Amino acid sequence: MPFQSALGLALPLAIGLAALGSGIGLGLIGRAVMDAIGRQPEAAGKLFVPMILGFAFCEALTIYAFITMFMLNGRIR
Amino acid sequence: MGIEFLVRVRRVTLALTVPAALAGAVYGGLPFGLALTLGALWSVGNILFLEALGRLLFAGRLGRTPQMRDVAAVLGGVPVLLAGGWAVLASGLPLVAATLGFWILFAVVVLKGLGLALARALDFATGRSCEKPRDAVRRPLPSRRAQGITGWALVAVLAGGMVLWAMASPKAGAPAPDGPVAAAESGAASETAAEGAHAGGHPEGVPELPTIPGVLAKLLPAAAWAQGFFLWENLFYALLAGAFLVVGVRLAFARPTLVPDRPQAAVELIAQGAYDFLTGTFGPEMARYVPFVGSLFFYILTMNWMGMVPFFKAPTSSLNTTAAMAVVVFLYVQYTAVRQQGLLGYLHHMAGSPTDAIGWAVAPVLLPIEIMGELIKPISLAARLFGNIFGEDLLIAVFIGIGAAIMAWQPVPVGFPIHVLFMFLGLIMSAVQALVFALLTAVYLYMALPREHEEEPHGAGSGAQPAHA
Repeated sequence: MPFQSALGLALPLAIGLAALGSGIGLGLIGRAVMDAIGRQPEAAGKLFVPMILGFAFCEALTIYAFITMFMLNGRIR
Repeated sequence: MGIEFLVRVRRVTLALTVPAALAGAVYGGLPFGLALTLGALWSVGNILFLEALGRLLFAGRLGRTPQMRDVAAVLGGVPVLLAGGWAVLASGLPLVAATLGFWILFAVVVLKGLGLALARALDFATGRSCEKPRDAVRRPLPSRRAQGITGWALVAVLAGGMVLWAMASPKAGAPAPDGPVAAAESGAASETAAEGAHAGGHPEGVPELPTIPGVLAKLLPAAAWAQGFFLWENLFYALLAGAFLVVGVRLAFARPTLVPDRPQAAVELIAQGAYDFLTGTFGPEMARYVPFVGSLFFYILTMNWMGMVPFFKAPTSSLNTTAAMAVVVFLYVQYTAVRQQGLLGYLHHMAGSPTDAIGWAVAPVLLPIEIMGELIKPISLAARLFGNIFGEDLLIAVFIGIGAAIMAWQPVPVGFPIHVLFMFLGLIMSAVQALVFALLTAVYLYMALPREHEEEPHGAGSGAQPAHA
């Protein structure tokens, strides 16, 4: 398989796999926070910052894949 | 409401007809633009007729004598309008254009009605409706001169930009897919074709929305200053965001009073909110760093939201901007750590705060790891912000392109505004990313502070101590 075809196949796949992983992670975080708020609604304010930080770290992984895609994007053609 | 509403609608419609007709004439040919103008004028004629009728009907109730002008307008209006409508239909001009022009007025009516409903809802929600009912609705009509100057200046700028852009766009034959897309809401023109050979800050093969420097560079391909301006556009917009914030806050605080007026109250509210949030989350020792973290947040938020404005660009969608900010954060955090803990104390902290023999034994291993961690922080900070904002703006650009492609079967320079959904998403994501950047900065600063009470947890996110405890 030529280099370009391999790259053209692999780049979108890489994004998708990364998004899959961080999607699961984000879902877990969100579920945990929702559970916690449901149990103890007055803790919602305290949970906000850790939740956002968790989201940020989780989602950063997809962003790395995204940036990698754009770094290699020009070499497909 | 009432006749005032009709008058406003008439004026706005007339003002919108000019750029619409110009755009129609440029992209659909002269008959197209002419038909658009005639259609719009016909519906404006209807509005004039309605106004005259309303004035006549209410003249008695208001105790005024009916004016002959209105009587003539009502009596003569019907045949004139009927004849005019028939003439437009029978003239052989493109019907699509005439209908489009006819619809401008209805779009204005719908949008204005929505705006009024929103204003009322806001009045109601803020409790102002109790004392001053329908404050926003009863606003007097702007004076003719003030309205004329601002309104027509806007129209001239819009129309001029449109004509310039049309002349600059490379092909005249097939206008639709990458011609300007005058999306009804944003007026954003889209340029989805990949910009070919631009180096520095403009990655290849990436659809970009037009920006002011971009348009200039396209119009003046030979002028070195325009190309340079285009190359440095991120810097330009970053400076613009900073200038906007500085000038805005300066203006709001030009004459600070004890009982604040609206702009001052807004700025005070925002600043107080940032202060309360940071000290409430991290404890009172964060108060020193509220100006730094808060400025970062609002600067980044402004820059992120710039990507939603037509002919603007989010400077944070370039890695250069975010990297610069991350480097500033990195240096400030290191400075704070050394300043607060002392150089030896900081090294001790970086070595894992060893107190016993085992701690000292693993210190040589821990120290490089911690240093690596410190160095990776700014990289991830910059890459996260850049990736998110870049991806979000890219998404909007791509969907503007798709929206233009949907309408490509019609020779109309109007795209289907499916990108609006993603603009809402972008608004939220921009705010969240600005918050994340500022929050992480606050966490790094918090971790750089010396710990007097060792029983407190080290992790900053979980170490949130309530201020009121």
